Amino acid sequence: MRHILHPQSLWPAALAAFMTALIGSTALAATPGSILEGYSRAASAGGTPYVASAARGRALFTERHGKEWSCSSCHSANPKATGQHTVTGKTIAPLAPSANAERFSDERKVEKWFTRNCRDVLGRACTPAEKADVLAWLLEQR
Amino acid sequence: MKSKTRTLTWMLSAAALAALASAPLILADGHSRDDSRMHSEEHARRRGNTSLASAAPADVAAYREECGACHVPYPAGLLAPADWQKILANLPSHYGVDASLDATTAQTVARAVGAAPAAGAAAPAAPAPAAAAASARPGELPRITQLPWFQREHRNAERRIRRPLPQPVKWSQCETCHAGAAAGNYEED
Repeated sequence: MRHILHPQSLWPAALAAFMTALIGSTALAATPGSILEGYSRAASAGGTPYVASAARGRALFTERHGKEWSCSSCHSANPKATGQHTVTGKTIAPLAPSANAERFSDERKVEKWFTRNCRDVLGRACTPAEKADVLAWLLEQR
Repeated sequence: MKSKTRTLTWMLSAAALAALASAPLILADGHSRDDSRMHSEEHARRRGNTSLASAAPADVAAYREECGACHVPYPAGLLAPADWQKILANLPSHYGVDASLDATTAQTVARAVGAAPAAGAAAPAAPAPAAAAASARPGELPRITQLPWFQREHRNAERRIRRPLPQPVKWSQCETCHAGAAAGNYEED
C-alpha cells in the first residue's frame, strides 16, 4: 500500500481537506463576539448602531418578569457557576464563555435556547436588543 | 358407594380441582404478580436501550442530545408511539416548560423513539414490538412514572436497594439510583 501514500498523491487530498476545513469552519462556527455582533446589528434601527448594555443584561437575567422563573433560577445569578434545572434537577454547565468555552459557539443552538427560555421566563420572545444585552453581560464575566 | 353418590363425589372433586387450578388466573391482575416472572420479552423491552433497536445511530444521537439536555433521555420502549407523538406535538408546553424543536429535529427525534416512519419509508412503520397501549389520558401528557408497570417495578425500592432515597423522591430522576441511565442502562438497579 506504500505507493498510495506517496507524497505526490497526498498533496491534492491535503489541500482539499484544508480548504474544506477552512470554509466549513467559517460557515458553521461562531464566537460569542460574532453572535453578540449579530444581535446588535439586528437591534440597530435606521442606521443607528445598537450599543449593548451589560447592566441591562444583568437586570434582565437576574430578575423575574411576571412569571415563575428568572434566567438565574436555572443558570444561577453567577453565570460562571454551575446551575441546576429547577424542575428536573439536572446540572447545567456554566453559561459564561470564560467558564465554559463551548458557550455561544453555535448560532442555531443559541437561538433554540433563547426561544424556549425567553418564553418560559418572559412569556414572549426576547428582542435582539435583549439578547445582545444578556450576551454583553455574560461576556463581561471574567 | 352408590353410583349416584360416586358421580356426585367425582363431580365435586373435579370442580374443586378446577377451582384450585384456576385460582392463580382469577387472582392475577392480568400481569405476573411476581415481577421476576414478567415475560422476558416485555422485560427486555422495558429495560431496553434509550431508543429502538431499529433506529438509525444518527437519530439516536440526536435524541440523546436533544431529549437528554434537561433530563435523562427516557428509553423509547417505555411509551407507546401514540404517547410519543402526543409529547412531540406539545413541546412548547412540555410538562411545564418550553421544549420547542424545529420541525427537522422533531422528525429525527420521532424516528428515534418509533413515533414516525423511518427516513425514506414509503408506508407507515409497523408498531414497535410489544408496544403498550397509549397510556395518556385525554388532555394530559403521559407519565412513565405513573405507568402500572413502573409503579410495580419500583415498589419497595428503598428496602430493596438498602439505602435511603433522597426526600422527596423524584421518580422521574432515574439517575438518582440508576447510574447508567444517561446511556440507557438500567441493569444495575
